[in-house]
Amino acid sequence: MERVERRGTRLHAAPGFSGMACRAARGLHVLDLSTRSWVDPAHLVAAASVAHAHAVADVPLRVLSPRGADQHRYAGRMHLGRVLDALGVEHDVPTSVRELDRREDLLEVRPVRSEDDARALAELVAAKVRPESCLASDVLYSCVVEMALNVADHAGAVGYVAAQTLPQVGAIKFAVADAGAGLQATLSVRGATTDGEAVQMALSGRSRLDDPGRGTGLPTTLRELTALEGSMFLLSGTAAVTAAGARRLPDPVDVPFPGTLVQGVLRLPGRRPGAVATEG
Amino acid sequence: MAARSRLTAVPTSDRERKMPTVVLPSMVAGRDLADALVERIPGDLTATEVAVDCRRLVSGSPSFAAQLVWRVLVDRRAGSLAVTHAPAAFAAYLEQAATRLEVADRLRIRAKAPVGT
Repeated sequence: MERVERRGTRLHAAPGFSGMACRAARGLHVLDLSTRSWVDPAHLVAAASVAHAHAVADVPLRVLSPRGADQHRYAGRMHLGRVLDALGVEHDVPTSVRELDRREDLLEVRPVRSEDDARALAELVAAKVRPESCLASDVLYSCVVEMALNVADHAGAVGYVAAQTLPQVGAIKFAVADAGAGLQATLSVRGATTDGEAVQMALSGRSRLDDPGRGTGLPTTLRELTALEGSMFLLSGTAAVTAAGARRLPDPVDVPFPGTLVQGVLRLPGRRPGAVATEG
Repeated sequence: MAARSRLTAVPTSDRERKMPTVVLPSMVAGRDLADALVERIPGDLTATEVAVDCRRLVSGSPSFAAQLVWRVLVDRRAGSLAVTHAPAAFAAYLEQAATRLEVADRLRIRAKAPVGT
């Protein structure tokens, strides 16, 4: 029970990226997840996005898997290792997983290259949640597809999506990240001069485009997550905010993120913490 | 082109042939998909009523709703947009977009489906 309560308390906590600084060592960059005691979808998509940027720039990278057995297995189960293999990035994340262990993984780490990818991945996630809750499925579809479409529309880079059920707290987490232009660069045409300003502008619905129908993705996603007792973590460059309803809690950023990362949390309606053991 | 491949629904009844009708598939998202759907309606839509049949729709995204409203009521200047069988969340997205675009008086939503749990 104590384990359940601890997980519930940190459900809305910022993922934190300490230790994930990409450092240079012996001629190559190293992305170090080895000391992570807690791995969220956000960490997985962040690692995949950074790895993709290195692969595109032809800069050698080594990714160190989480050292903890559960976290190490979780990263493999969520196919981070396979994504890194596909990018030609050196790593020690496991690449073979037992399918029996994957019942809580809504969506392993998957790339988003286009609007069609965004739609297909969101449909996949929504279909898996629909037997549990039509409402949560609809919200998840809307949130995942809007965030993934933002990557296709604005980032100028390949993004990554992952989603996870947390049955022990009756919740779902999903994350979308890209190592693309970032919010400050995107919103500089609207006067954003810092990452912090850009994050606040994005949450309030400002878009780089003039069309009054634009810029609604993040505010709508936040509103829908909040309606299901959820929250949103938004990180871009050196600024991060955890938001729920009108509340905005700035989070310290140990490691600047070269792009944009969103992690959403929502509760499954009618579900409360149960006794299902899990890892991650 | 990829978005077009998802557009399998076509008007089949006499009423649909007379009134420009967009029949939505089960899941809709993204502005390019809304563009592709509206581009299938030929001719000048000025002052015309355009129908949107959401009978098959399960989930729709805010960006799709916003683009649909913009393309039909602002860009192509239709007289009205009549939406039937819309799930409640999608109906809300349409209403929000129409309000932002100042065309709410030309959006008619009928028979909202109840919100599921």
